Amino acid sequence: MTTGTVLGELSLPELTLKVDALERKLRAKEKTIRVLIQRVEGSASEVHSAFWVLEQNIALEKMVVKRTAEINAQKEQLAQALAELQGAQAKLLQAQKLEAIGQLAAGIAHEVNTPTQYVSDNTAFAKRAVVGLIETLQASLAVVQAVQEGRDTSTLIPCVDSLLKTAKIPYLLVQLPRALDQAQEGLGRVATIVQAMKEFSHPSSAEKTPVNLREAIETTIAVARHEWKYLADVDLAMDPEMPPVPVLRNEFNQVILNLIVNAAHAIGGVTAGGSEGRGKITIAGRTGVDSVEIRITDTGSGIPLHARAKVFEPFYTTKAVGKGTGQGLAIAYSVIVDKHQGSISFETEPGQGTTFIITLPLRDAGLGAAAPAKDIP
Amino acid sequence: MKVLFVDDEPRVLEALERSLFQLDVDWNVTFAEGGQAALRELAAARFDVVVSDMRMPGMDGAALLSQVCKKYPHVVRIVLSGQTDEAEAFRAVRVAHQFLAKPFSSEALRQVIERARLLMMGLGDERLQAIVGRLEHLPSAPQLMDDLTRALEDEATTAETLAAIVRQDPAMSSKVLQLVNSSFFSNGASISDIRAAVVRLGTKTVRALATRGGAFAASTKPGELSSASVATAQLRSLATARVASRIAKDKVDPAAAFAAGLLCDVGELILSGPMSHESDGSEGEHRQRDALKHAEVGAFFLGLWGLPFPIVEAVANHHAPSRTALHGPGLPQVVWLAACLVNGNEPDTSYLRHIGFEGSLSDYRAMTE
Ligand SMILES: Nc1ncnc2c1ncn2[C@@H]1O[C@H](COP(=O)(O)OP(=O)(O)OP(=O)(O)O)[C@@H](O)[C@H]1O
Ligand SMILES: [Mg+2]
Repeated sequence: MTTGTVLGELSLPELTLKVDALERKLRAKEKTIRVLIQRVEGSASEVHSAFWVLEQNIALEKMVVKRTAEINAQKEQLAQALAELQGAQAKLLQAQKLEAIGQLAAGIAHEVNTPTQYVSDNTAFAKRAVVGLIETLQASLAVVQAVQEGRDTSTLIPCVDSLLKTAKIPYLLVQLPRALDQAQEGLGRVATIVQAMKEFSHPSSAEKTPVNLREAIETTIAVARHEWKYLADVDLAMDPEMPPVPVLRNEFNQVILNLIVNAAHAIGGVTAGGSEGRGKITIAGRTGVDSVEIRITDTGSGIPLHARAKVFEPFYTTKAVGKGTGQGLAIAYSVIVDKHQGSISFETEPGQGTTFIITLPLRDAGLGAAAPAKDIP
Repeated sequence: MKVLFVDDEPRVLEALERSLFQLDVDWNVTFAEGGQAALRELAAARFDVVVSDMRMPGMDGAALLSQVCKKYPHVVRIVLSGQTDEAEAFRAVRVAHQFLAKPFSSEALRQVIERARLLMMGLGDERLQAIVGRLEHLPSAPQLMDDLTRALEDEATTAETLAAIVRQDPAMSSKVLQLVNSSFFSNGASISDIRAAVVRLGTKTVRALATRGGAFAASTKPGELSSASVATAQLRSLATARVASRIAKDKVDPAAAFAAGLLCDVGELILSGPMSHESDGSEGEHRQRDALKHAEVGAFFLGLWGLPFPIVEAVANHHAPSRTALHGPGLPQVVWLAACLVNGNEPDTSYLRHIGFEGSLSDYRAMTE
């Protein structure tokens, strides 16, 4: 998917360029005004006739007014471009999320199909078993009744005997409870993945809400299970005392998903897709005074020196087509830094692995998702 | 018969074991948790069928089955996967004979395996079984291969265009029918119509099969059939297919007759291929016997690939249709008559009348024009 089609008229790179150009113009204009103002102030201190000063000031003021009007117009343009950029980013975020979910979908289907296989085998088994048990029970009851009524049972007993054999009763007595247990467990697994998927993709409010990060991360780990389970073990070590953190739940989930998928890919790269050993992904959370820190560590390839400056750039990727589009970290940056006033950075050691470190303020600065226009100086 | 089931999820194996025990299958079953364990089992005992999951940690299904293909080519290889991703599925196409999608009921699985057993018993020759078991695809006619490649290069090519090419070639058609009749690529519907099969798979899948799947190839390697003889065989098969579908009119499904006619001589393609010449001393004797066996080999091949039973049966009996249980003008009889006419053999007119072909022989001869 190209961003051009997602964003309508302007692609994200084009929009970014437009905003840059506008900002440059604005800076140039502001410099002109500063010079003019300096001139006015400067000239006032020089020895001139009052009339001359007045004349100069009027001329200058006119100029300032004119320039200010221009500036205001351009500020408005800039605000508009920024708003567009913001909208574009939101769409991009949505697009990347859909893409991520699309990629996850195949994995989720596999995660569902596997338990479905044994749930249906076990229930089919139980169904046939119960038919045999009921027949045997009925035959046995007939014997009981015959005994109670003092009738002859010699023809009934062999019938029970043969049913006991064909229904494989001793086998059923051991296997039936297990079959049902496992069917139930399998259904539980399906329910868990469906629930996680629902929580993960449920549209959250545009406002930050206090979120239990451990639960949110657990959900994301479950949703991404198919991406890591053949390659690595995942360890979640969250500070149990961590208070709820104000976040945009959906965006936060997406960031964690991107980081987990990146970690799994990095581990896949050094284990030949899981055929040579297993890696480890550790997600740890700590509470600070006014912020929390989440560290996502992998035992993957590490990030080579030449790539370190680029990984947060949009569309920078080292992955094959279909495996990555280079948006994951750019979006993580935008979500954590722009929308949450947090920070994201990494530590990496080629051949050892990488740790991505996110910090999030515990108190919402109140600026996050607000319209960007009023942030313009 | 010994069957090995491989899956990384022990619960899948346990549930299968229960079901198969309850269904009273009379084959010997073994279960292995993963590729490595499966290879150990295979080294320890002789198996006839392997049913494996695809995605497994360590050695996955594709890696396992390609090992099985190399070391134990006589073993029937079946994939039973929960994967829905086509890109992954194409890895299975090269190494497995049949592709089943989870969830797959154990009754249906039993049928698939029973059918494999019947086929093996029908062929009754492990050496031939190994030759067929190793085949990834048959050789396509070079001209049609070019046509297909060119058609696939054009983004605007429709499934109908592809179908028109594929249905002329026994090799491409057998591959397409193999896939479309597996529950992985379509819901396991039984499809004998080659055109419908291509349309159902769609241009995208056919393109991926041709490019990434390596599913079609013209014979070019030294030692294989010459391109000229593949082309000759293809033209003869196509003629048989056309005549069969004309004869079939209001007797049996013409599309199925076309497919059975097209595929009736795949056994010859296989037996004159490179692997059947691997000498084990008595080559001349083998080749002579093989010549008689081509119908059985063809049928075994098509059955192994999970093609619809009527086609398999027609191919098996197209030299001697009186052997089938069917005594009316069924698919085997139609293909037999078509093959006789195309090859210039004299069909037994009393048998013709006996099974209910009313028209005179000259009427049928006219159909070959
Ligand atoms: N944990 C990691 N270990 C090693 N390299 C990484 C890691 N995370 C990211 N990278 C590198 O940074 C690049 C950019 O990552 P990013 O998540 O932005 O895009 P992507 O993963 O390539 O594609 P996408 O996330 O859009 O599917 C990756 O291609 C990879 O080279
Ligand atoms: Mg990524």
